[in-house]
Amino acid sequence: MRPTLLLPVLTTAALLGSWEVLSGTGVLPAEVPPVSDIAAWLWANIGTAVVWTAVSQTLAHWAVALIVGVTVGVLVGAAMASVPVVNELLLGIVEFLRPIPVVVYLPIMLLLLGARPVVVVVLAAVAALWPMLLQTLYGVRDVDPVTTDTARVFGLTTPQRLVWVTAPSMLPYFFTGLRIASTITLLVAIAMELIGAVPGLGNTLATYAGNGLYDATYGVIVIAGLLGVGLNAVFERLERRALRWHSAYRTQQA
Amino acid sequence: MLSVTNLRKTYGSGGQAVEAIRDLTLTVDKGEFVCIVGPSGAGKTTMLKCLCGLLKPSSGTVTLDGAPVTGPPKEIASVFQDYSRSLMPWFTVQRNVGLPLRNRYRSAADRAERVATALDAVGLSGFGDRYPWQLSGGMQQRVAIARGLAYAPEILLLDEPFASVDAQTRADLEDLILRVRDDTGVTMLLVTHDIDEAVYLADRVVVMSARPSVVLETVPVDLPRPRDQVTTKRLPRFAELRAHVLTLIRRTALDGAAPTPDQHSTIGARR
Repeated sequence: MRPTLLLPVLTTAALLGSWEVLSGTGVLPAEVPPVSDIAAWLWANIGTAVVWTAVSQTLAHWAVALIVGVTVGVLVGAAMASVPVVNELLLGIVEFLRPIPVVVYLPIMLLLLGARPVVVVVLAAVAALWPMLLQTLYGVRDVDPVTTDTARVFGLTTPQRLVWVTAPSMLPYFFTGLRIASTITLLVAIAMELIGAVPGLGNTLATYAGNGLYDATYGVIVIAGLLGVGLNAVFERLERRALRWHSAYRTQQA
Repeated sequence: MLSVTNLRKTYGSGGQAVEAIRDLTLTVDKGEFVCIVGPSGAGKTTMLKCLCGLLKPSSGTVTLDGAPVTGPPKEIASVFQDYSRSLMPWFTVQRNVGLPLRNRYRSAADRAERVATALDAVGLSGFGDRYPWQLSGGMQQRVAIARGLAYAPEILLLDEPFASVDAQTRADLEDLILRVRDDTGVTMLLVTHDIDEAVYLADRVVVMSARPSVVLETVPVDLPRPRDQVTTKRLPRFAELRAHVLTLIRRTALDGAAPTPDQHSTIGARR
């Protein structure tokens, strides 16, 4: 095993080991079951319809919210970066709304729409919107002026410059925004399911915890964690493929 | 023919205004090789940007074959100093060279042939599928030159094109540019701060003053062609011309504004 992998594995094993001992000997309260119990629950339930229904509901919320949030974020961010008037019109509103945690909108949304998936999707999309908007804003502004001059001298039209210069040039910012947005969207989706009692991993978690099924509660937490790590890995792979020309990912140098 | 009359360019306004170019008048005839030299910060790049329609002059006119230049004209191609920023790293060499041809030639086969011819002219056949960053600095600048040539311009503007490469590569690229000019007859306007380079390449050397710029003198270069890195630079006439231009540049660099503007200039700041 490579030493870079060995050390984190050691800390993880030590942590899980002491948890197991402390829980088994009754030092930890009943709300913290032994690791072996959690593992056993996962082993028995990971393939069941209950788990997979919850996972697919949460993933559906995540996917729709991410697509909506990213699309709106990119469009508004690009408009703000390239049209000064749009920037002036929107900057104040963006700066005001951006720091507000989306959970504060939940009570109103529940009153207006009820405990339905659309509430989760709307709030998660709003959360995804901000990092995407800001990254797009920075990315479009950061296009190298020499590259822009080159494109203009050689008579590329505005749409051509958008597709061949601006878009590839801002791609590193886009992927950073996408990864942040994806993580936040998953987080917000699960939180809103939990608080708003909308079917999904969050609601499943609340049900298990409320009924004292602690091994199942921790099992769902593990599933949510794996989901987050898995989605992040997928986006990192995509990023590496799309940016293989970028100085951070080049494999061949002159 | 490219004609610049009383070009003036000021950045900013009011008390913050910086006068980059005070008064430039020059003409470049078809097929000519003109080099522009001046001390660093003399507004050479600003002038080139006005010539290729990227910047609007504060006053004065730029005309190409009699028509005023208001935006980038299709008769002009540019080679920038910083090839690593001017070439697009997300495209291969042949896509970089072929990109400007999309609006000019409709057939893909036609475009591919022109790209191949241009890459061949700069000695880069077989490198079309590489990315620019996989090539050395000198090769990258050759890609940028190929892109300019493939555009089939009447005039190629070169902004300190060899300032970022080593001395040997620089000499090779100078000879490459001379050969390309002989083969294609394209008009060359090259900006440099290297006096040897200017005298070696040019039919005429235009000497610019320090900022705010005026034309100090236009020096005709009566060295025989074809030029050669060894024999041309050994000629007594080469040394004379070089010394003359150097004297002008050193004086303006020390004095700041122009002491003795030539007959082209209407305003000459005296100290």
